[in-house]
Amino acid sequence: MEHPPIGIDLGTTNSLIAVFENGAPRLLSNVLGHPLTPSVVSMDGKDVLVGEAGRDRLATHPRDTAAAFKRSMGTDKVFSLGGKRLRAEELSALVLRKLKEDAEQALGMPIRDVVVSVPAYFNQSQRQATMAACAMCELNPVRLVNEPTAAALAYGLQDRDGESQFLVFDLGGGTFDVTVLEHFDGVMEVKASSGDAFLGGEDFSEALAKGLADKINSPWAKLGSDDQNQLRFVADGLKRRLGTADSHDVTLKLGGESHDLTITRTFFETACSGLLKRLLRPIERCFYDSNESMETLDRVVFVGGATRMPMIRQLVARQFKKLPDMSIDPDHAVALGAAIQAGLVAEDRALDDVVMTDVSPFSVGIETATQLRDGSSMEGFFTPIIERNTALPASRERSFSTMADNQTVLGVDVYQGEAPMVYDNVHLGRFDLTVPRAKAGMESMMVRITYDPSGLIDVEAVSTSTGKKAGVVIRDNVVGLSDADIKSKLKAMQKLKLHPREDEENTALLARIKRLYEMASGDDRTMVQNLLVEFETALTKQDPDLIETTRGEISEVLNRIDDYYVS
Amino acid sequence: MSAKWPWSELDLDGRTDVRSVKRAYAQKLKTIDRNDANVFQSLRTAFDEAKFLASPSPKKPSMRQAANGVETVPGVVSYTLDFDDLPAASQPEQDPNPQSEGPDLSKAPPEDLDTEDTIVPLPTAPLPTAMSTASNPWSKPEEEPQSDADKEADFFRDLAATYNTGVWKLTPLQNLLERDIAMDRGVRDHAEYLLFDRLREAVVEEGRSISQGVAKLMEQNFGWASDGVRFNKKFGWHEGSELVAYDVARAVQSQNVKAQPRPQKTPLHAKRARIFMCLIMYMGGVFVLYPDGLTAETFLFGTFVAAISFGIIWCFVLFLYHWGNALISAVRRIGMIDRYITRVWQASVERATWFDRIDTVLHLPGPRSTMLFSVSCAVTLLVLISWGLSRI
Repeated sequence: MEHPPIGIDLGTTNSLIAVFENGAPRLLSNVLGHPLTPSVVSMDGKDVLVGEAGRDRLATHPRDTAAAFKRSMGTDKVFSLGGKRLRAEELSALVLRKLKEDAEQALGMPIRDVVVSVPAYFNQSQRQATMAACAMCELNPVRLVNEPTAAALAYGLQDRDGESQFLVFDLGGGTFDVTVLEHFDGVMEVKASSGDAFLGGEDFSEALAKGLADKINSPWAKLGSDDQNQLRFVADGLKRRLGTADSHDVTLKLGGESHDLTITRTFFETACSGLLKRLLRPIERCFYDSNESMETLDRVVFVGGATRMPMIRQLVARQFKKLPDMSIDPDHAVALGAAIQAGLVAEDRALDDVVMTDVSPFSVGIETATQLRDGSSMEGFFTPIIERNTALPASRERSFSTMADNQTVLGVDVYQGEAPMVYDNVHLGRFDLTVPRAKAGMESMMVRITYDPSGLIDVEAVSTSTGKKAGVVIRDNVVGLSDADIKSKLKAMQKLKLHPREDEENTALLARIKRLYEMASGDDRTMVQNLLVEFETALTKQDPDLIETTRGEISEVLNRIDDYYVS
Repeated sequence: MSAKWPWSELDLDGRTDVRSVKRAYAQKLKTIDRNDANVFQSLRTAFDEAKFLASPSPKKPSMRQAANGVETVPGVVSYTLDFDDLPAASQPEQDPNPQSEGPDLSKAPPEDLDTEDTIVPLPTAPLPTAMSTASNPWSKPEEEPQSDADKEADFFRDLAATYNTGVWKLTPLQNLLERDIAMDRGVRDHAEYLLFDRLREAVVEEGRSISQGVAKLMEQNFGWASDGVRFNKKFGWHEGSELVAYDVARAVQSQNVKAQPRPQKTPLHAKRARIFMCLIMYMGGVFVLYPDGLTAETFLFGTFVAAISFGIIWCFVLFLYHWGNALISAVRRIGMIDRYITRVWQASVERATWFDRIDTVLHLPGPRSTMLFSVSCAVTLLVLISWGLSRI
């Protein structure tokens, strides 16, 4: 790498980029001066708005805006924005491009090699989609790092020579990861990782929004998508408010009716009780796999914005009987850790005495069939060869034999997952091994799976009698997309122009004014309108100083309005 | 592997304390090629082994905790009496990870587990009460020391009452598992184990199968079907645990299958087999009908007749077969026929013999279909012969 090591946290709600220099990671701010760039993409005519401007347009132009697309990574879901149809990885690529431009501006040099963080519980196809997103904006992801591992690195680097056993509780916008780690003599050892790839802060907002709909007696399913969006927006703001206050007043305007509600924290917690229960299973699984008990933990580290919710703190305190540690901002920890990982990959000298070992988050195995007593056979069983939470790199083998007389082919289908039946797991690849004819069970093969920390899975089968080999290599690359495909995608993506940087602050402010205009009522609405006129006048005069001061003044007023109407 | 393994692998002279083992491991780890799986794994295995040998007392098994904890709780005597096999059942838990700890069981005699310091008591210390009421639960002092033990006793008594009946009532059971006390890990673990044991008994000893409702409940609460690996680790050492796993997976999966149909694998050579079979049948029919010789005209006609009659007869046999199968499974479901499943884990197969190929074509697994096929062939030929004879 010619440039310093770069780490990217591509989050569900916010994304960050950090650099590793002078022996420590540092966050790079975007053009608005914030380290957090909302992972929201909005189409404004031909322009693409990414970040805060996009987030404000989520309320005003929901049809042109996409958010939380990380949850659809690795699926075929298509988002349509202002007439354009984009997949989750393309939207992620736009966010990455924005981060890249911000970082290049901040560092004054082009960047290419990066380490990107993914939830530990992302499976192979989700990881591959993340790699594809990087390729689409000309970034070279040298390594994908698991988010809790990254966060642990950030914490571990604070206290290099210490020895401790801790748990990273990472509840982000859309994903939930739990990881148990041990840290001693500069070795950061991941003991077990578990999680839920479809559980995060967004689900808590959604649950609250549904609770609100119930409270005003208009069933969620019967609301139009615009009303649902509005409720979601209100719920999201309420969620933040209830983090500090015990109750909050909110005015809901739905279908011409206005509802004044007082929402208490208890109401929120009741609405989310199902989600809290879902948080417990990965924790239990993690302890089960690592053979550790909760008593040996020294601390619990909180990562991810959603851990700010008081009910999460209570849950953790109740489970572990420990106060959670939030000494690094939960929003920043992953990006900082990703930068450290980039430093590790680049063999940065400052990290000479730091070693990290990770585990495989999923079991990897092959499909097997089983003989029933009546002589018929049943296919589709999953037999793990490398069990989940095995320290990486690992290499394990297991022997399998033929099931039918004169069978000449052994088909090896490689799967990843935990379900006992392969149809519920993720298919990674397949190959055949030919063996000589013999009675059932007389011919066998050894299947060896090698799994390394960069995500490369090498499967090899050897016939025991002939020594003939066959195999397949599965890596974190872009499946289904050839190099030519990526090039054409790259071209298509380049046609989408990001909004000009120098104009960004103004665009963001305009989007915010427009959002508040839709939200406010009565006199406030007139006031917001006046602000809009004032700002547009300032813009037409093209005097940078005047624009700057107006922007400052208007932001202050907007902050007050925002405080009043939950945002 | 030398006699001094695992110490030699870590460049240690001999048995030492955990701290030194960790330090040695950290040092060695920084010098080896960490991308080589074999090098890394051999160091790793040695490290795990050495750490285990060096630790003053073996790891505490979770089930043991739960069992012991419960026995000390007053008021649950009736429930422990119901399960006189409890101490025996908790025995295997002393070896929760046989692969890594295998050789050292002798060094960790079971008596050790009963000493005070190795057993973590079940949280008899109070848990914070309901989440919603405790705004700051970790700072809450021991307010109601008795109440949690009582709750726990109540929980297990109610649980025993629910599952000791012949038919499980799902809603009460689900409600029971949603109680606050059931969120505690020790209690939950133990409850899971009790439920498993009851199900195992029902499946293995009483020959019943697990209903879809119960299977779903287990999946929702404990993830038995979605997490086969954990299930196996937790209960794999019980006789018949695989029967329970299979039943649960099948009951839960039957819904998934609808959403995601099983891929039908029809190998290419099946087509060849089909053509070959038809040819034989047609030729047989033709030769029976016209033993004197063939003309183009008679060949076509004979072929036509043979094809139609074979088709009709085969459909009838197939109908009988499926109807019979449905009957068998219906009878099996109400528990009149013993289960016939054995599990032999073997590689997935591509069928190779001729009869197997025929099976693949007809989508009928196993030798039973071969027999059926032969019967249909024979009947077809008989019909053809009698028809041919009647024409002469």
